[in-house]
This record gives sequence, C-alpha cells and structure tokens, in this order.
Amino acid sequence: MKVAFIADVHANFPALCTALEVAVRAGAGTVVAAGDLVGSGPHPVEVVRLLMQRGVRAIGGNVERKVLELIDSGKKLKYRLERKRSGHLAWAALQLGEAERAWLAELPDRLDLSFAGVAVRVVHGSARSDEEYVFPSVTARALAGMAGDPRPAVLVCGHSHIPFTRRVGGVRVVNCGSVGRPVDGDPRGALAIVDFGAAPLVRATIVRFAYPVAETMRDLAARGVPGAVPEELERGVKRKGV
Amino acid sequence: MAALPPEPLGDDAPVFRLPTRLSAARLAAALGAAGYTVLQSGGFRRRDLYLDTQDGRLHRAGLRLRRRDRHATWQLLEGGWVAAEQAATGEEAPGDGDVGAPVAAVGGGRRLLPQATVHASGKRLRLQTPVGAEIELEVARWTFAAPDGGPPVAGPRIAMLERPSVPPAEAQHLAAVLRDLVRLRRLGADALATGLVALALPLPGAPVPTGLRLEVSDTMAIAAPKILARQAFKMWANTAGTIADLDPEFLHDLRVATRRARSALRLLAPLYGDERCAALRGALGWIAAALGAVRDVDVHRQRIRAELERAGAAPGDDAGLAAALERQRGPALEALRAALRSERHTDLVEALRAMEVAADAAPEAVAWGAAPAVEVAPVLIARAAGRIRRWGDAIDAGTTNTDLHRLRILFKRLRYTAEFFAELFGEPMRVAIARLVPYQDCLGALQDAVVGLATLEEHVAVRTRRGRTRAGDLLVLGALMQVQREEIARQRGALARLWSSLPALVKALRRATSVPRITT
Repeated sequence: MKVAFIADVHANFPALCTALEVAVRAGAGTVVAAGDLVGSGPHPVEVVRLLMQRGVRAIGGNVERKVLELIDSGKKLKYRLERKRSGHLAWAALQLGEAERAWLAELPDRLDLSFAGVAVRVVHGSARSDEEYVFPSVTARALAGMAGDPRPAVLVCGHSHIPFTRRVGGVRVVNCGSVGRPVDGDPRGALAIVDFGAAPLVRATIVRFAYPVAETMRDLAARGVPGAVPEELERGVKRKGV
Repeated sequence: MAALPPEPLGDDAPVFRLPTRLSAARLAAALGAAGYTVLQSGGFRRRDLYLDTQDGRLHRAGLRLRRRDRHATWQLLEGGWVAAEQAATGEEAPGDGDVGAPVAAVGGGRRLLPQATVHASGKRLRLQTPVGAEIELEVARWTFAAPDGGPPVAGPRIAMLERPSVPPAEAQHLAAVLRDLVRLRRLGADALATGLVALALPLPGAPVPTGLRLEVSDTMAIAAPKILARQAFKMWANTAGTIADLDPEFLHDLRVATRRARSALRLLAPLYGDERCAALRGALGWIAAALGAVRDVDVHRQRIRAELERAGAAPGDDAGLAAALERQRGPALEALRAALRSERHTDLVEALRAMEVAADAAPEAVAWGAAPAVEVAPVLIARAAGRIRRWGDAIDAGTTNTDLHRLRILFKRLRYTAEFFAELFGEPMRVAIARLVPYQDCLGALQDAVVGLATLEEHVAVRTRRGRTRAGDLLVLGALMQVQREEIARQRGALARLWSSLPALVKALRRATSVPRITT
C-alpha cells in the first residue's frame, strides 16, 4: 500500500490541489498531513475545508498552535495584523470560520499509525517539539531524542521545508518538505510517497511537482496577506528562517 | 481590423471557461468532491443589454451597466460582480437610485449607448457550500449580438457565479475551488468584453491597444507604424457609430483621428516618402471634408440655443435656423455615410493600419527610421513650436481671421506631434500638453464663431433670395450675427493675452523632451 505524506501547505490551495492529484496518480490511497496547513498563504479556509472534506488525517504544526493561541487569547486580531512577524497569523485567524477553527483545534500534535504492520510516527518538527528541525544532516544520536519513545520504524516530519528521506539509526526518516512554501531554491511543491507494500521493507520517495504558482502569488497580493512576499514562492526561497 | 484584446477582470472575477466535455452534471459531481451539494438545478435563458457612454466612461471606471430582461432590472457591475440593481422603469437609462446615481456620477450626463447584447442559456445550480451557505452557479453558453442587429455570434461555454447577494467569502471559496480543484481557467474578460471581441467591435470608448504604445527603445521605423495604426484604430472604432449617428462625438472622434493621421503623415514623410504620404493625405482630406460638412452643422446646432439666449431672442424663435441646419445636415450626413461605407475608406484605414517602410526606401529614409524615437521626437516638437513662434511674431490687430485659422492648425500640429510621442516623456509632457489647451480652445472658439457668422450670412442670403424675409427673423439673425462678431473680438483679445505665456510653454515642451521617461 502507498501512503502520501504532505506537510507545510501554508494555505496554498493550488499547491494542495496539485499535491492531492499527484498522490492519486502515484497510487496513494491515503493522505496524511504533518502540520502547518495554514499561515503565510492566501487560502486558509480553502485548504482546511478541502482537508476536512477529503477526510485527510492531519496533525497540527507550530503555525496552527500559534493561530489557535491568538484566537483563544481574546486579543483583538485586527490590531495584530500590523505586526511584522505575526500579522499573517492574525490574518489567517480572521479568515477561519467556526467549523474550520474547530477542526484545527481538534488536531493532535502527533500521530502514531501503522501501515501494513509498520509503525509510523507523524510529527511536525520532531517528537519533542513542533519547532525543532530535522535536517538531512541529522545523526543517529540526535535522532534518538527527536523520534521519541517507543522508537518508530518510520518517522515522518516537516517544518524545515527541506525534503529528504534517509535511514538513520534504524529509523526511516521522511521529511515531506513543503507543499506550499518550498525554501530550498526549487519552487516546486514537495510530498513524500511511502510504499509499505513490501513490509517490513519500506520504500520512500520524495516527489516534486509544479503547480500554478502565479495564482497563489496573485491571491497573496489580492487578498492582502500581511507581510507576504509573493516573489519568494516563484523563487522557492525565504529571506529569513522558516 | 481585429478588436482589442479583452480587459482582464479583477482577480476574484467569477467567470470561468468551461470545456465542452464538462457537462453541468459532471461539474456538480466535481464540486461534490469539495463538499458542495446541489440543492436545485434548472434551465434558464436570459438576455442582457450592456450600455456605456460614447467615450466609455463606465468602462474606464471599471464598471458595467446592463439591462437584464428576465427581471426587467438595471444592474451595475464592478469587477465582474453585481454591485447594485434596481427595477427598470424606462428604456433609455436607469433612473435615480441604487444604479442610476453612480452611473450619472461617472457618466457625467452623457447619453448611454447600447454596446452589445449577451444571450445566456444553460443550467443554474443552487449549491450548498461546505458550511451550509447557499450560492448560485450558472453553467451556460453565451451568444453575442451587435447593437445594430446582424447575425449573432456564438461565444464560449462558461461557469459563472451570478447571485448578487452571495457572501463574498463563499464566492471567493467557490472561485478557488473551480480554479484549483476543478481546474477551470478564468475567462479573463467579462461578457461584454468577450462579446465585443467576438463581434469584432471595439471596447467602450475604443481605448488604444497596448501593443500600439510607444516604448523608449523604439526607433522611428517602429514608432511610426504604431502612431499611424493608432489613428487607423480610432477611425475604425468610430466609423460604425458615425454611420449610425448615435452620438455626435463619434463623428468628432473620427474627425480628430483623421486629422491626426494627416498630421502624422506629414511628420513621417521622411520615412515613407513624400509621394506615398501625399496620396494618403489626399484620401484623408476627402473623408475630412465629408466629416467637416456634418461636424460644422453639429457645432452650430449645439451652440445655437445659448447664442439665441445671448441675443435676447424669444423662446422658440430661431428664425428658422434650426430647421435650415437640419436640412443642411441631412444630405451632408448621407454623403458622409456613403463615403464611410465605401471601399476607398476601408482601404484607406487598412493602409494606415499596416504602414510598412518600402523595401526600396531611400538610404536617407532608412537612416531616419533607424534613429531612436526619443531623439527624433524633440526635434519634431521643437520644429512645430518654432513655426508657431514665427507666425505669432507677425500677428497684430490687422491679422485676418483666415490667418488665425492657419495659426490654429499650427497649434493642432504641435499638439498632435507632442501627443504622438507623449508616452516617451511621461508626466512633464502631459503637463506641457495641458498648457496647449487654452490656446486651442481660444482659437477653436474663434473659428467656430467665424464659421457661425458665415453660416448665418448664408442663411440670410438664402432667405432673401426666396423672399422669406420676416422682419422679426431678420432681427433675430442680425442679433445672432452680432453675437458671433462679439465672440470673434473676445477671442482675439484673449489670444493676445495668452500669447505672452507662449515662451514658457515652449520651454516646458523643451524640458519635457529632455529626459525620456517610461509612462506607467
């Protein structure tokens, strides 16, 4: 069986639609999302509704946590739109309706799944923190804390926006990269297809896909997402840290 | 001549092109995958008549006005969405209210003219959104018809959000789903723009195609065909309206385009050759004469009411002048129509549209064509300004009105020359051109009064010949002639005062052409 893992959609609806199409074409019957579904992008409502409708299993990332904290804090969101770093979070919070907020609030921060008898842990950053990065250079020693206990056979994560798959210390690490906000110089979206068909052998593939980036760039400008730099999407880079 | 490419709509414009293979049922199924439920589905047929002013004021303001037959309503659209509507009570234009007030504000009292009729027939889906709101989606085929009748032209199949009261967030959501999930392409133009392109008609107000804008990097060989093609476009765009006699401004704009084309040919003769330009200018002169015969009457008709008041004539007493002008206009308009419908006119416009430099052009012409337009334009503008100064220096109280008419033509040439290249020099050039306007207004009013006086003298002569000389009429006509004489004297005085600021105007033109700027 094939499972598609996606992460860091960042409210990029054209990219998500393309990612789901790519997953279907690759033969993946299940899609799992590893957090940061909203924030930064222009389509938070569209993204959440589609994931809800498709019954995609998902976890929350650091962005969902911050958006929900903003909503729960009772602070006036409109005044926070002006904030340089968090304006886009307030904007996303203002767009989301009750149904979308409730769905996001229900998301767990990790999922322990089993596909064909293989234990898979899905986290956003690492099992310790949704803000910890798992980079391709990760060592077996470092991964011991990042993968959590009990140690899974497959660790699926996102957050860094840098996709890779590597076997480290007996764990197949799959960083899905970013569907809607790549920063590795390749403007194409990324997702991971993991084939559990020959379990316990697990075959993971990173798939890059082009999507109509111009539509997202146009909507970023048209919908007035605070702090948005549409050109970054076109270049697949980000000025500051992810 | 091909029409303009359609203007893009706003980013949230709710019109999508529908592939032939995608039926309404299949579209509904695709939307079902995004959480939409079809509550109701039914057929519909509708006819929308779009209107705008002759100069396309609504179009320029990003507005559309349409009369919807199904509910007999006026609808005002902004960015593709229905912004306001009201019940239709009359045929001509919306009254005061939700639609009438903004139209009046933008239209400035100008008459609204039919632009095209759009027929739509297909299915209307009433959808429930994933969060329970309701929204209407139309799946239809457009058919377009020109205002003057003619065969209808089939348009594209479209999917369009129509309901005026739709919640904006839901409309935005459905638009994103149609675009990104169902993979429909936005049409990029609304029904009217799409229809006008399909009907090979210009957009309201006939905005010049962007492809004919000058670039700073253009050489004269590139700039010259653009300059002439712009005039050809304007001539083409105003021909149908002039023939239909819908609004006198069509004729005026056609006449201006004709004059500009003549002026441009004079200016560009070093590139195209004297003989070729002279032949085209001759043909343009033929059209210009036919246009002038009608336009002069129109100007006089427009002025006569105010002049009769100024002359102290009793209300309704015009000494038979209005009827005489009407009689004069009829045959002149028929002659003009015949000219505009002729092959000669069509060929002339086509020739101007595609003015290539001759393959066997003289070396001097080739060299002139290779020069950058930003370098040649200042010379041409300075030359035109220099002619005016030389003429102006000879003006005194004894200068005849005929000489002042000649000066008027020189001012027109200067303005046209500056306008041909205005895009290269940006805002300073626009400001300098605006400073030319008072001179043209003054000389134009003077010439109108001269023509008016001649018309009145002719009218008196005709009436005298026919023995229809009522004393009361003669008094009215005499007073009107006196009004013209006073106007002539007034404008001559105004010109003398204006003349003192001519050096500053010439300086402003010189400064404006010193640095090329890209107009944004």
